[in-house]
Amino acid sequence: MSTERYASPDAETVARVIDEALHAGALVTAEVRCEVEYDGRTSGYLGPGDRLLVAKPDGTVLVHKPANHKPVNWMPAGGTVTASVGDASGEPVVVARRTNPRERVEVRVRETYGLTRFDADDTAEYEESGTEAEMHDYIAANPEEVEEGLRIVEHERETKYGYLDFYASDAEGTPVVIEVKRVQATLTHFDQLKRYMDLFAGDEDDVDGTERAVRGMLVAPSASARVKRACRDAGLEFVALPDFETEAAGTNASLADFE
Amino acid sequence: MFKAIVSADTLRDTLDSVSVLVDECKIHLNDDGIEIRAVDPANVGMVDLTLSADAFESYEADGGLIGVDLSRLEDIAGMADAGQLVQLELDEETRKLHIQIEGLEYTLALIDPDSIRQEPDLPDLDLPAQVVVEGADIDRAVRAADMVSDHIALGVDAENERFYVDAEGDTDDVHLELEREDLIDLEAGDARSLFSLDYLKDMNKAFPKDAEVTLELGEEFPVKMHFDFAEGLGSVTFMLAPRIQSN
Repeated sequence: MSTERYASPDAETVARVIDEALHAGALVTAEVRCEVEYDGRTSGYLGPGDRLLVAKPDGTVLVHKPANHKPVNWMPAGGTVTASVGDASGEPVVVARRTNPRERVEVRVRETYGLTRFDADDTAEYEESGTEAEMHDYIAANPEEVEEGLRIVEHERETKYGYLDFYASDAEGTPVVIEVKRVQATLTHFDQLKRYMDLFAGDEDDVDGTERAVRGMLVAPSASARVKRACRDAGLEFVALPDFETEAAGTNASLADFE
Repeated sequence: MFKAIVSADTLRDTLDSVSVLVDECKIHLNDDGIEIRAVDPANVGMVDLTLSADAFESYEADGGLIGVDLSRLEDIAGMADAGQLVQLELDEETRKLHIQIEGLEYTLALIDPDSIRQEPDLPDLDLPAQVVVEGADIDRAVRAADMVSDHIALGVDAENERFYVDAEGDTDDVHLELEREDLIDLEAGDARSLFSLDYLKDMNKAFPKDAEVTLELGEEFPVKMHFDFAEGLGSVTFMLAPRIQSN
């Protein structure tokens, strides 16, 4: 991690630092007075004002007004960002473009109060609820709670569809793919497990035509009858770990149900 | 005909209790007072309100029915200072309500009552447990629960004679227990039901913090919450359906 700060940089410096930073995979923030032109699904113009400009190496550009959580203008990741000095104005111009859909955001900087290049390191992923990790730790430490004789081979194995929660082996030595859910299992979770299973379909080695070469297991505090049935029909297994049950919220009943 | 004078506070309390559930409602202008009954569009929360003619400075009515836009009427009532009087008079010809607050005149267009959602029938519930608490206790429980969860369990432990509130979040939990001596009254019976905080929070806004609120509870059954206002001349009953497992 490193940062380089520039106070009131001139136009050439602004254009050069933004270009260099984005090429080098660094993030740029700038406190500027600017105007913005957007052309794409609609078109529009934002007159001059003091704003925070953020450019990310993935092509994201955000123009933030002093208030509100959403940027007033933006370009999502995947676009191309260029910074240059305008021929006529002599002022820095940042242009973000993408082709599908065809969109273009042009930020004309009237004045740059501050500029920061931030070579940021961030590999962490946001974990929606800290407790799913707890459940993983529990299973890693107590695989016999899932099934007698189960042995964890790998925790979080990378596949082309994302990370498998556990790759394990049962008492017979048959591989077991395990998907863990912190909440009541849904059909979406079932679909996820099925996708992972497809990855192993090629490896399937049905000797007598009844036994799967790889077992798939959905582990969650509970599952509805539909999910259990879907698992059974697809030759997958559902294992409940009811200790992790939080009070399921259910849905609001209607007062008419009680008349 | 309808002509009445009422204190701004009483009018506001009346409207607030109903507007937590619905945007518009029918008001029955009975000869002994007004009556409002409304249910939210999802049929989850219901309110039944009466305000006796004695709660008014003066009151004359003969059984009419009007439909009102509650937020509009609340805005008007909000123009009055505490203790000021609000005069209401129905113009039968134009179907408008003339409202006067110390020289300020406001003519409110009414809504055709037939275009307002039908009034609910009150479910006849046999609820085994009854608790009387201070509004402030409910307020405290609801606010704490809201910090951790979207729903709240209300229950009565008959054996230990206590009323309890539980809220379980992903990481944090809230639990509140009130023993018999902390309660104004308790009729013990086993009860526990889960409710949406969205609704309960809104209803809680209407509870007077210094007044007694009577809760009637059952097992996975609606809760009935009752309180009086306008010095006992007004009465509100909320009913809220529980959250239940759909499978």
